[in-house]
Amino acid sequence: MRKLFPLLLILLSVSCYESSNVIYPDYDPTEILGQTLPLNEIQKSIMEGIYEVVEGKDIFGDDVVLKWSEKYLSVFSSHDAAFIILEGGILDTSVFLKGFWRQLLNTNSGAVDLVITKGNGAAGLIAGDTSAHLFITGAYGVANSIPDTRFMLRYVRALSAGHENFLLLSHRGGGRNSDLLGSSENTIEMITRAERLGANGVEIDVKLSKDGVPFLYHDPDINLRLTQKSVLKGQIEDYTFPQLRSFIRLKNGELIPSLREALEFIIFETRLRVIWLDLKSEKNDIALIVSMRNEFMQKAALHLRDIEIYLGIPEDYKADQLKGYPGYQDIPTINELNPDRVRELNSRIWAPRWTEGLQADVVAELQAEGRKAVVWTLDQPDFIKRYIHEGNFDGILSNYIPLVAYYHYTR
Amino acid sequence: MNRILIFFIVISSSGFPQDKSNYYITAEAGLGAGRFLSTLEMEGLNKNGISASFTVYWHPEHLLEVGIETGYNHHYSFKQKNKPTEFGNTDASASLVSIPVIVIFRMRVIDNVKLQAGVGIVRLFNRGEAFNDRFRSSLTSIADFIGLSYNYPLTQKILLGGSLKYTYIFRGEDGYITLQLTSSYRIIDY
Repeated sequence: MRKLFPLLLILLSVSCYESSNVIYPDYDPTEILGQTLPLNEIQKSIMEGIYEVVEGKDIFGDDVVLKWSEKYLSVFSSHDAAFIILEGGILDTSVFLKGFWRQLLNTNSGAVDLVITKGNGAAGLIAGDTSAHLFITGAYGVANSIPDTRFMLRYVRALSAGHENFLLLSHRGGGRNSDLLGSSENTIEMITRAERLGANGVEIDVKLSKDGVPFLYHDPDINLRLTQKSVLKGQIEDYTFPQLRSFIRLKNGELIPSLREALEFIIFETRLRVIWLDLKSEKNDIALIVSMRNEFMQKAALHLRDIEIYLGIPEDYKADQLKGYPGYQDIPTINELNPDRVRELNSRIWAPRWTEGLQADVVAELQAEGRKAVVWTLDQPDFIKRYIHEGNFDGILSNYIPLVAYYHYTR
Repeated sequence: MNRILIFFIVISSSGFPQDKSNYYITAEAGLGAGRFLSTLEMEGLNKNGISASFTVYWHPEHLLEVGIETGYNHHYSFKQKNKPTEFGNTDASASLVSIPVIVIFRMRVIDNVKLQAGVGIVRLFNRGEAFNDRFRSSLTSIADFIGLSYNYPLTQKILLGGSLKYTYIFRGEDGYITLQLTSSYRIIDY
């Protein structure tokens, strides 16, 4: 027995925990791209489309979608939810593209270095020739290695048309902390990534501080899933916003954003079309949120921003709080409850859990009443494909928006 | 939890002879100092504090004793004057204390020295002030511990000794180590 004690102590000292990380390769876009000229909107639209993966199928599958969002060119694949985010520009008669790739279903990542040469269609692309046949060539690397594995894409056809109003909604501003995207969920930094990941709308979680400031946070308590260690412990809503802001850093070092900051950023710094405010506070924050929503809708209108801000109703108690607000049926809401409560609150969007199935009849009924239907939170690759191909939903909320974007644009 | 499991597997394989023929219950009180073991680092953070415990043990006719412990542990205090923030300068303070409810298993390894381990819950209480606003919040976590205790019999009923324990709090991924002087009293024999 006594001989076992040292063994016991050794076993006790061995950690049971293992953490994983994604390596986002260092690349300096100013190195080459600093010498290039930006592409104009026509050139960008010529580049958008569905491409065959001629080389690089191991990582990116058989075909990919290319889609621009502002200065970033995103590539979406169905293979392990891979995506590439590139910056690009024109130098002489070539288009240079540099960035990184990542597979969302695992932690694989690496650098990407691509070019469209004059002979591969760049001349026509730069001239604005919509019939240009593009070949994109180059290489990708793994983790921080120099890109040295051949990668080639060939333009096949334009993106699928006819579903322009389909909502690609990023969960928690772009993705969860567990998706290891490099930014914490429910932050401005994460929202910055949402469009590059393929979203045209975001869902963000709203809590209410002790001093009545709405802010972005998901869980009821301060915990290590969402924050770094701090001297504040316990329930997040037990603290004032200055206390939270001054003493808490989120998982990747960010500050907790107020809802006001988030709305300001989304409206003036992005082209996102939908904001879903998932009201997570048990306190009655309806009047405050409605007032802020109206203020920002007015600001958006003044700046000709095509955007809608919805109050998310996740639970019956929140629906009851909403019913206590005068004119509640005029407030745009996304309602996760049953269709009867959707009608009772006159919610614009019904949001059932995806596990409840395609529910084609109910969806059609609500759509006939002028409402929309979106499912949450759909992350299963096979079901994303099925819901897009077989379902009649008006949108999908997902942590894997690149995968949703791939199936949406290739349908 | 795995550590506790390993402990009990080893305990259950024990070949020690039974050395007691009667059953009894003791009450043990401890008082000492503790050190909060955490990667949390901040200017003005003091990780030393007092630690007190009260434990009732059941001593069956076997080597393994079972007890239940509660107590009070001051994990840290934090104080900063004129901390600059985006909301202006503020004086800030915070402290964290815990009250555990732990099931303890203990066995003698050599004369008067016992190895102990336990698992249970701790209720953590956070208090402080910043921006002229007092805050108070709490949370519950699973915790486990391992340690050694020494008990010297002064009389048949009274023992004096000490204990050294390392406790791990799962929610915060923090630990604390305590060193206590203990006094035990045999309250029931049957």
